[in-house]
Amino acid sequence: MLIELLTAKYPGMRRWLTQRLCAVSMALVLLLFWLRLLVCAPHDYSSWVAVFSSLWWRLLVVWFFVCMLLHAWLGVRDVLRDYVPHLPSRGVIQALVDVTVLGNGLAVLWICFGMNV
Amino acid sequence: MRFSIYRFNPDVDDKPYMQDIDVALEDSDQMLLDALMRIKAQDETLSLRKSCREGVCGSDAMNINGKNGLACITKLDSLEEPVVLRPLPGLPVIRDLVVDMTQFFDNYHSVMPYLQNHDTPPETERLQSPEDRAKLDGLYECILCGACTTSCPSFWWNPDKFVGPAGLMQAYRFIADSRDQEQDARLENLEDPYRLYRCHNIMNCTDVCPKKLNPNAAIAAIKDLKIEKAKAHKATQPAKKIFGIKVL
Repeated sequence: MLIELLTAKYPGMRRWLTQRLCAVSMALVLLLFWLRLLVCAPHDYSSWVAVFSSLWWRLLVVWFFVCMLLHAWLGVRDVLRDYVPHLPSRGVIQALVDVTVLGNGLAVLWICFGMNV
Repeated sequence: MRFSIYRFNPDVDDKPYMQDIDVALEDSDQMLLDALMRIKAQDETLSLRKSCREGVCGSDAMNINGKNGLACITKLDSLEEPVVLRPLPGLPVIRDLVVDMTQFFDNYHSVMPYLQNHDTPPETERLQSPEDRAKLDGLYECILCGACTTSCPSFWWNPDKFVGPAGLMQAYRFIADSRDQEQDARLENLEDPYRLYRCHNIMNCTDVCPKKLNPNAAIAAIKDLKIEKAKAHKATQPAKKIFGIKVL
């Protein structure tokens, strides 16, 4: 049911719902993280590293940032469409936003999976 | 009392200007509209709309000290001086405090703000249960003054695409009406990325409504209903399976 709402058949609902689903996803990951800290709070660098050595936690972090970047990208896209009527300027700013979002996403991937955690 | 009023007469002025006016009020002058009438008695070139002078017609909507409202129900003793009066923002100014509301009413008409029922008309009225009738409370009272729509930045930037809070509340007034038979078409009519979904819930509309209505809640209700409709539609369809696994 939700999947259908995210298709081109619902162009307005698709963007709106995607942003809300991203927000709910982020809230759930934060809740999980908070519960994890409640159960056993890391107290030094090595214990923080231990938390994120788990594949599941790293996947959750990547998922959190994917949701956050998608949420932000959709919002900024709307803002640019409203406030920058000059099409070439909007295109340049949108391209900068796209590169920034993509760069941040790749950085998160690199931190979670590329570094020797 | 001191006022600073937006003045623009396109026949005479090259550009708009703010005119400072001092007016001596009398005890009977309680509302902003009373003061404006007194100012107009001094300077009959001041243009503004007014009619019922009791918050029913919505014609004297204007921007009062930075916030949209109706002059006839705004108490003078609630206003800081100088009282800055401007026309409703986001609409073309015809003259002084009078704006061209064509776009506002075009958007309003685009939601088909009338009952659509294809059954043979009954001898008397079409009846509703008290519960169904109660769903229209907080919706039908809108006086179309335009205070909400012209306080919405999404309308300022996309006046021809985003319906605006007043139009959307009237859309929901008929979507929620148990006597209407075009609910699906009404929801479909609001599906594009701008008409409904340009609302970002900043709630300026609810903040300024002189009738204390909540257009933001009506807009949220439309979105909720669209999801409910999709769920109901899905429930009538056979489940899709990928590799034998039922998917959403």
